[in-house]
Amino acid sequence: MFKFKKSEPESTKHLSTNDSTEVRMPEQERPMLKEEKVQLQPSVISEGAEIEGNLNYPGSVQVYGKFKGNIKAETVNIGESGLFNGLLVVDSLIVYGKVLGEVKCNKLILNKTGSLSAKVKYSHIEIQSGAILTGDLLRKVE
Amino acid sequence: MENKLGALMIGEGVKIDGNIELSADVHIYGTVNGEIRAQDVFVGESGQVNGLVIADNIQVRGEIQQTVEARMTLAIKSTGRVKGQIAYQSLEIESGGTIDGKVDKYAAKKDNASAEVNDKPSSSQK
Repeated sequence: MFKFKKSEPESTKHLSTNDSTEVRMPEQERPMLKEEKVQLQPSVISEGAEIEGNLNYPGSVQVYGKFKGNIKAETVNIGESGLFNGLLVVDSLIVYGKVLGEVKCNKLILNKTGSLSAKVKYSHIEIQSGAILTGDLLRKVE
Repeated sequence: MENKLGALMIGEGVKIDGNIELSADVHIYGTVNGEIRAQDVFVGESGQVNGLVIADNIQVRGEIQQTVEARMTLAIKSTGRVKGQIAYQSLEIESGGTIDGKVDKYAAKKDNASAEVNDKPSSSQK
């Protein structure tokens, strides 16, 4: 049984030297497909980092540092150490840290450590006890 | 909830135009057009208040419009809708609940917004 199994890889090893080009071909094709299929990696602004400017990203953005400016993204997560000041245009926003300015989103989740002081347009909201929310809130009518 | 003396329940289908003031709980399942000052206010799913609500704790499963001041907790449950001037000490909104309007911390409101709401802060302090 084992002999047969061993013989098979051996045969492929021998062949692999000849078929190396054939083996590489699919490897080259795969990354091409992967790039199309793979979801975007989250873009992370680490704790200690300070950024001023605009960020456009069709994926997820995680802010643990300080961000001053505008973010347009699919999902934005403001970590406990994160501070955002500016305009956020996102599908869903999750806040553990601090947000100032203006927010336009579909879904807003404000966790107990979160603080949001902004002009907010939303269609779905969830606020945990302990969170701080101040500003003008406007619910988008779906 | 310990002292139920003087508690008030407004049943479903009951409509009141006027002001309510008491130092206990109010449960509202009907409609109130006017002012409510109480210790705790509970607005049931069928309940609606158009006017002013000032209380220590406010829990909303129905609807409140115009002015809401929670000296302690404002809890908006999944079916709750609050619209207007809102002040709170601690806020909680369940998924599905909605909030619309100007939102402030209660302490901040006493300092800043007393000019906006002429006679209301003075009565809330009593």
